[in-house]
Amino acid sequence: MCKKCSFLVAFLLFFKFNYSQEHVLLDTINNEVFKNEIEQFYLVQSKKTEAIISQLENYKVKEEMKEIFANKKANFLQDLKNRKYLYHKEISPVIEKIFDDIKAKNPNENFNEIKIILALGEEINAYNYGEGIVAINLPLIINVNDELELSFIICHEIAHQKLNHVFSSIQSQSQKGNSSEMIEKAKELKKVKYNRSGLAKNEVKNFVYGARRFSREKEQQADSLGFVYFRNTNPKFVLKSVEALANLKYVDKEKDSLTSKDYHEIFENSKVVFQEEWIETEDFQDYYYQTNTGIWNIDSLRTHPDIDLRVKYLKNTFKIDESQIYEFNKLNYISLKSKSKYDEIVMLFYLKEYGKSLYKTMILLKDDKENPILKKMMYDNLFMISEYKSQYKLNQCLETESPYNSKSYNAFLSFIRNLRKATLSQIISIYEY
Amino acid sequence: MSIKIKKIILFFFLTSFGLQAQIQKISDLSNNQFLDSKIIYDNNGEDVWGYFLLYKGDKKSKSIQEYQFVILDKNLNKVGSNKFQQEFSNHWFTEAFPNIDYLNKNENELIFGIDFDNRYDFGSFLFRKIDLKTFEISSAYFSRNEQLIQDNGLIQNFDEKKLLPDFFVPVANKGFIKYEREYKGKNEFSSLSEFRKADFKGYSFYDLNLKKKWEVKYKLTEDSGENCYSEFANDKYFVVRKNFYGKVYKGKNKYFYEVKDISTGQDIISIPIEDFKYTYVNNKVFIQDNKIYIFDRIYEFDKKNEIYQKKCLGISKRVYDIDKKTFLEQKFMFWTDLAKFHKISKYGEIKGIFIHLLDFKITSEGKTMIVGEGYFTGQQSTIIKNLYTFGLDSEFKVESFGEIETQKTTYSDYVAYGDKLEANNLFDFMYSQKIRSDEFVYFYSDNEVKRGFLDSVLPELSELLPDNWVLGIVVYSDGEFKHQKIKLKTNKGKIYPLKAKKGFIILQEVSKTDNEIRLEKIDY
Repeated sequence: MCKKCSFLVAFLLFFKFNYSQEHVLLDTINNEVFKNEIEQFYLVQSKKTEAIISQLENYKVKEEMKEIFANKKANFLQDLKNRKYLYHKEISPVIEKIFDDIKAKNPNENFNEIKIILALGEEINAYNYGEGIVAINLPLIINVNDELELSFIICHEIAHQKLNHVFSSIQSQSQKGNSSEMIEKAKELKKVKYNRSGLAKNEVKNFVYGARRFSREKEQQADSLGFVYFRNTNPKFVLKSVEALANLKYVDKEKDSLTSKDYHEIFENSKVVFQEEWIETEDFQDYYYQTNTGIWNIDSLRTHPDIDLRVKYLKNTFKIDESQIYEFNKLNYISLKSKSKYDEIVMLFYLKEYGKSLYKTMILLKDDKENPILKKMMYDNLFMISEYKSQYKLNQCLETESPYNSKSYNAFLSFIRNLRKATLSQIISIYEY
Repeated sequence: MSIKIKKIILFFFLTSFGLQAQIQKISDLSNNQFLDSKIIYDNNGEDVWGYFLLYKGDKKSKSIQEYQFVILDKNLNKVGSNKFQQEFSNHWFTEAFPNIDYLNKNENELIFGIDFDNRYDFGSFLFRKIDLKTFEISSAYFSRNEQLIQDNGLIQNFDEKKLLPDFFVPVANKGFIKYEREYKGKNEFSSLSEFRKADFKGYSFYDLNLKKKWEVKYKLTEDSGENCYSEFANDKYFVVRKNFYGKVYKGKNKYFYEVKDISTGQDIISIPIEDFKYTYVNNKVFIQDNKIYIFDRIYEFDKKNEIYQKKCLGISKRVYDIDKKTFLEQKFMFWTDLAKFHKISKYGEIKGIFIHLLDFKITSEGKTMIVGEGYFTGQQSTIIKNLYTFGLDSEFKVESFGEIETQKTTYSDYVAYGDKLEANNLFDFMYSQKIRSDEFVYFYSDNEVKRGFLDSVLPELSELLPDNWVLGIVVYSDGEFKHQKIKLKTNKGKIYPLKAKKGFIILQEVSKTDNEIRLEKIDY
C-alpha cells in the first residue's frame, strides 16, 4: 500500500468533519469487535445448517448441499475478513433501531437468530444471505426516501429468513438437479452426436427459469409476511410499503450530473485551463446495439418479479387504503442520507472503484468546493487513477464509455482518459494535502 | 448435477463483491468455443470501429458446423451477434475450422472472408455479409472464373477442377485486385504459389460485390512484366508498382508507380522509380492529402540494379501531387547528416548496428517523423537491438535523432538484412498509430528473446512471450519523441497488446482457462 493510501486509512480512522452536523465517516478498519461477533454468530448458525443437512436422506443431495454451504460459509467469512460487512457508528444504529422496533411490535415472532448488517457493495440492494444474515448495501440507505421505506425492505428480507427461503431454494434446486428426470436428460445428451450444447443449454435454461418462477412465489411470500411485520410495526404508515417498492423502480436513475459548466467551475481559479474536447464522448449512433442478443440473457435471472405486479399484489391482498396519509418527521433520516453520500464515496474508494468514487465526489464538489473531505477524496481518487493509468491498468478502476451509461457519466469517463499526464499531475497538485 | 448447473446455483444465491473491473471476458460473450478475432476498421480503413469474434458451436451433421459471431464496438461493448452454419472439412484423420482472413466494413454492412487452413481453394476467400443493423448474415459466396458462386452444399458437391480460382488481393476498403497471369501452357492453376510463378499480363479491379469494374491488359510482346508486384489504394486512388523488362525499356526507366482512379481505372500519373543517379530500394510509399510520398533507401548507382546491403548511403523522399499530376520535390538524408547527434559511419553503422527504417509519418507542417530499428547480421545469426527516432523538418533536414536502448532479440539460426526481417515481421517494432494531428504513438516489444527462426514464423510452436513482458511505447507529441516501458505482468498467463481505437491499446490476457481483453488509454 502506498504512503498516501496508508495515510488515507489513518485519516478515515480518525477524521471527523463539521459539515452541517458532525458525522463519523465510514470506518473500514476498526471493526474487530463487530467482526468477531458476526463471525461467532455465523459459525453457530452454520453448525445448525450442517446438522439439518446431515439429516437429509438423499446421499447425493446431502453431499452437494454440504459443498454448497461450505463454499457459502467460506465466502461470507472471507468477505467479513475483507471488511465488506461492517459497523458504521451512525448508520448501523439506525438499522438496529428499525430492527428493534420490528422486534418489539412483533412479539410473537422470534428474531433472535437474525442479524442485520451493513454491507459495502455498489448495488442499491438488500439481501438475505441465509443462515440468519440480512445485509443492507450502503447505497440503499441513501436511495430510500425515509426510514419507513427502509423498515419495509428490512421486513421483507427478514421474512425471507423466517421462511428459510435460501436453504429451501438450494435444497429444491439440488433435489431437482439430482432427480431421476434430470439424470436421464443428462444421459440422453451424452448420446446425442450433434447440437449437444444447444440442447444442454435449453435444459439448463428450463432448469433456471423454473427456479425463477419458484423464486417469484417466494418473493410474494416474503412481501406478504414482510408486510405483516411492517403493518404491526408501523400501523399508521402501511402505504409506505408500496411506496418503498415503487421507489425501487427509479433508484437506478441518475439523480445529479456534471455539465460542461460544472467542469469549468470546478477548475476555475486553478492553473488548469479546462478544455471542452476533454469531455467529448463517443458517438454511439454509429452502432445499432442489438436488444435481443440471441444469447441467453443472464439478466432475466433477476429474482425480483416486476415491481408493478408486487405493488398490485400487496394493495389487493391487504386492501391498502391510499387515502390514509399521515405526516411523520423524516428530517433525521434526510440528514443521515445527506451525510451518507460521503460514506458512499469512501466505500467506492475502498472497493477500488476510483472512477465511480471520483465521479460522485465531483458531483458533490460542484456545490461545495471547499469541503475538506471532498477535496481529499478528489486527491485520493485522482492519485490512484494516475497510478493505475501509468501502469496501464486504468480499466480495472474506471469503466469504459458505454451506450447504457448516462451522457454525463460517459463525458466524465472521457474526461479522465483524455487528460494528459502533465495535466493530470497539475489537477492532482490542486488537491494535494 | 453438472458443475455448470452448480455454478449457476451458486451465482443465483451467493452475492459476491469484488472489483467491478471493466474487462471483457471472451468466454462471457458466448457459450461457445472461441476461435478467432479480428479488428473491424471504419469506412476510412484506418480507425478502429470495433472487433469481430468467431466462436465454434455445435456440429449439426457430419460436415456442417454451427458458428457464432460476436461484434464489439471500439469500447468493447457488445453490439450484436448471430449464428450461421458452415460446411467444414471433416476428413477421417483431421478437422479444419475456419480462420477469418478478410474483414471489411462498408457503411452498415460487414463482409468477412474465411478459409479452412488452405484446405480448400475457393479462390482467395469464402465470403459472407452481415447487416450491421439487424445482424442477419448472408449465405456464403465466392468468385471463381469470374463467376459469383453461392454456397450450396459447397464442400460436399464442389468440383474444384471445373473452374479456375480467382485469387483476390484486397485493396483499401473498396474492393479487390485480381492479377492476370500467362498460363504458360497450363489450363489452370491449382494453387496460389503456382499462380504467382506465372507471367504477369495485367490486372482487374473488382468491387466489394465481386463485380469486375475495370481491367488493365499489358502487351506481353512489349511489356514483359516481372513476377513481382505490389499495390495499395485509398478511397480515390489505386497505385501499383510495375516492373518491366521488355526490349522497349532498354536504357530507359522500367520501374514505375502507376496511379489510377480507383473507380474508373483511368490513368492519372505514372511515376518513374529510377533516376540513374542512385539505386533505389523502396522503403515506404503512401498517399496523404492527395500526395504520394515515396521513401527509398539509396545506394550508389549500379547498372544492374544490384545493391550491397551494408552500403546504404541514406534515404530519399519524393513527393508527387496526384491531382495536379506534378512532381513536387525530392530530398535526401544521408547517414552522415546524423553525425552531429551520434557517431555514425557513411553507411549508417552505429557500433556495428545498421538501422532499418520502419515507419514514416508526415506532420501538418510537412515535417517527417521516422522510426527505425537496429540490426546486426552475423555469419549464422541475426540480432535486433535498439529503436531509433528521427525528426526531420519540412526541408528534410535532421532536427532530432534519438536512440532508445532495448533488449536484444537473437535469431540463432537465421541470417537476414532489414527488408527480409521486416517482410518476415521479425523486428520488435509492432505498429504505429496517429493519435491526433501531429501526435503519433509507436509500440514495440522490449524483451530479451532468443529463438530460432521457425519459432517466429510458427508462433504456435513456441511460447513467445515471457510472463513478465515489457511493452515499449514511443509517443511523438508537442514536437518531440518520448518513450516509456511498461511491464505487463499477469498471474493468469500472458498479455498480448492489440490495436485499438486512436490513443488506446487493447491488452489481451490469455490463460489456459480464459481470455480477457481490456482497453487502455496511452498515458503520455
